[in-house]
Amino acid sequence: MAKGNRKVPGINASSTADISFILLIFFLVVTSMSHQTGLNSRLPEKTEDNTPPPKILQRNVLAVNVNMHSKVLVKPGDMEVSEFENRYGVKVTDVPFDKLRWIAKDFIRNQITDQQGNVLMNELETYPVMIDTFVIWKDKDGNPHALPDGQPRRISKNHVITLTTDRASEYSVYFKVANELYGAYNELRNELAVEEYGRPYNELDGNQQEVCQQYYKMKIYEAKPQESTVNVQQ
Amino acid sequence: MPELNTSSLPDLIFSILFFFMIVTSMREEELKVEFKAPSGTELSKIERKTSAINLYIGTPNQSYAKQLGSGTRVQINDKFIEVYEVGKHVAEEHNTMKGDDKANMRVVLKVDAGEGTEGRRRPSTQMGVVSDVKEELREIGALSIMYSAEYDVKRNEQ
Repeated sequence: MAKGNRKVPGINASSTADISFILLIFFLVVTSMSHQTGLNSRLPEKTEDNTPPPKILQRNVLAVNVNMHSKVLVKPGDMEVSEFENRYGVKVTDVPFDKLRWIAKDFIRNQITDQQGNVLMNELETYPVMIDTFVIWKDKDGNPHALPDGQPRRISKNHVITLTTDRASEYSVYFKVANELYGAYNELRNELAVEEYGRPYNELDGNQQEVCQQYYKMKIYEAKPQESTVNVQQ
Repeated sequence: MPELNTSSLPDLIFSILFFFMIVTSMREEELKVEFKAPSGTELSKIERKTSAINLYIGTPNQSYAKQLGSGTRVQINDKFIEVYEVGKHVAEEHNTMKGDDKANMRVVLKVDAGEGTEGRRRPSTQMGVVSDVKEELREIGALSIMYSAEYDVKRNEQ
């Protein structure tokens, strides 16, 4: 028999499909397609200890504190405690989570609203100082961006929200409080976006979002537990 | 009736197989502490998994409770570390990253929010430890953080 004429039997490949199926199912099971989600935050930069803390007017400060019993305490600017408690139907020594967002939004805008969002009072003497502000945001190519109407807006530029916690307070409570405070800013930016651009915030392009962010800058300061770093000036 | 030609079936299956092999990330740390994420509404997704460093903070789970007791512990990768070591370990992890990941590093704090109701309740981690960890991160300039959480389904539907 000549060498070249020998017939090589073909390898039976019919089972490769089955083998790959098993592998496929294995990887299907192992794969986790779920995305991690969470609340993004930025820690303040470390400062030299000898720099004096900034002096802030009492009326510009909304002080939120989570105490050792994990109750949420609020000190709203210069407003009388009784007035605040009457307006929001809460006790300053135990503020429920579902009212925090409403309280924070009112404070940042210096307004009193009812729960339906109707404005009852504007520019209170006891809430943050309002300043006519016109923001021009420059992108990385140096092109300026501003709100479409080109008018200055009155915002409480120098307001501050302080968030302090007791060392023994619960993280779950702290998280809910932080979530509500971030939510207040997000809702304000969204309202500004709808008002100015006619679209919700998350449908704007990057520069438009940045402009909205500049008007409602997050000013949440977290002091180390049980020690206040903000010096309050009367 | 002509028989259906199935000779390309293995190739098809192979290509799907390769897809899943690439998508799958096999490196998942073994969870050594109890962890139940809190739920919130203002969440965002993590941009890239490779630029994230996970820090678990909670009490040791059943397999480790006997050796380590019930105090709050910090876990990075597969090991327990002390709070004062957090900065050192995060900096080490940061150094192993490359390019964009290194510049966009984000520390994901997976802090146990506790679960259950009164009685057989596992309490939430206390803020003292969380603040100490945050101070450690500030110390080394790892300022971008994320509090790991799940979407609050009930509130989002309202």
